[in-house]
Amino acid sequence: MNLTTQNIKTALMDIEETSDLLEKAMKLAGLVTCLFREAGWPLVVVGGSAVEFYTEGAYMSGDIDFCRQILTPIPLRVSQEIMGKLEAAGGPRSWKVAGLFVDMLGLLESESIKRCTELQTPYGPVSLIPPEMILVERVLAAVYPSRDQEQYDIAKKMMASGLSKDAAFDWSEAERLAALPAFNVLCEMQNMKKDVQNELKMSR
Amino acid sequence: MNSKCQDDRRLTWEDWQSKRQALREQTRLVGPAVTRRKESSSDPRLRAAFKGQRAPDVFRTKL
Repeated sequence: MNLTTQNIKTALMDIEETSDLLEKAMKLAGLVTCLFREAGWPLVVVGGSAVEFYTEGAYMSGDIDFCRQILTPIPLRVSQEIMGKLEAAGGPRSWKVAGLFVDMLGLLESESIKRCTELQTPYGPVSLIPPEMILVERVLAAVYPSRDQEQYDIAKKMMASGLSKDAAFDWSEAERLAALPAFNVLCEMQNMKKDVQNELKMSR
Repeated sequence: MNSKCQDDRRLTWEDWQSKRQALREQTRLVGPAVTRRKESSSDPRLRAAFKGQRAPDVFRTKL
């Protein structure tokens, strides 16, 4: 997508007027991703907005977290110039733009062998961290160092999402990740999955 | 705008929109409708920007 100054202005107006928070975030992520990709840095959406995308759980707050997919760091001057095109305020790693915050976290850390989910937005494709990776991270945070109810609720919603009939979710990959020493939560994840399956069965 | 994506990890905007309601209903079966964290390290800037809340005052159209 060729983004001219006028295209960007029109896109920003549309994003500011979008009333659904996740839709707003995905449109803005499409615009940001497009500009950084043109400059040579492919990005991935991680964090709360990725969780929200997979769960529709009213989870995300007012920020979008990005990681870069390649080793080469993004020069701060480049980031500032790109975000300047979006009339963003702040920086050099966090900006306010179109009513949301955009955070650039650094290099993507993902042990998953699955490809990212790709959503075609009106302003270009957005890559989101694989759902199996999010699930295993949330299970870990839900049970270690001690039980965390907020993380537990999110882990259950990620599981329910992965168990839905339309889900592009690979349970063998989730189990492989959960068994890695970096996570070591396979038993906890399997137990939680049984609970979620039972809850889904009972509520139907 | 977008051609239909073949890969199951690639979604068009329209595909995504058509699946959101069913996903919302599915995940709501196992937990509260709203699962936003009550606090995080980003609280000061979020609450300063969004009238004391952690997100902008835009509504979820289908919540």
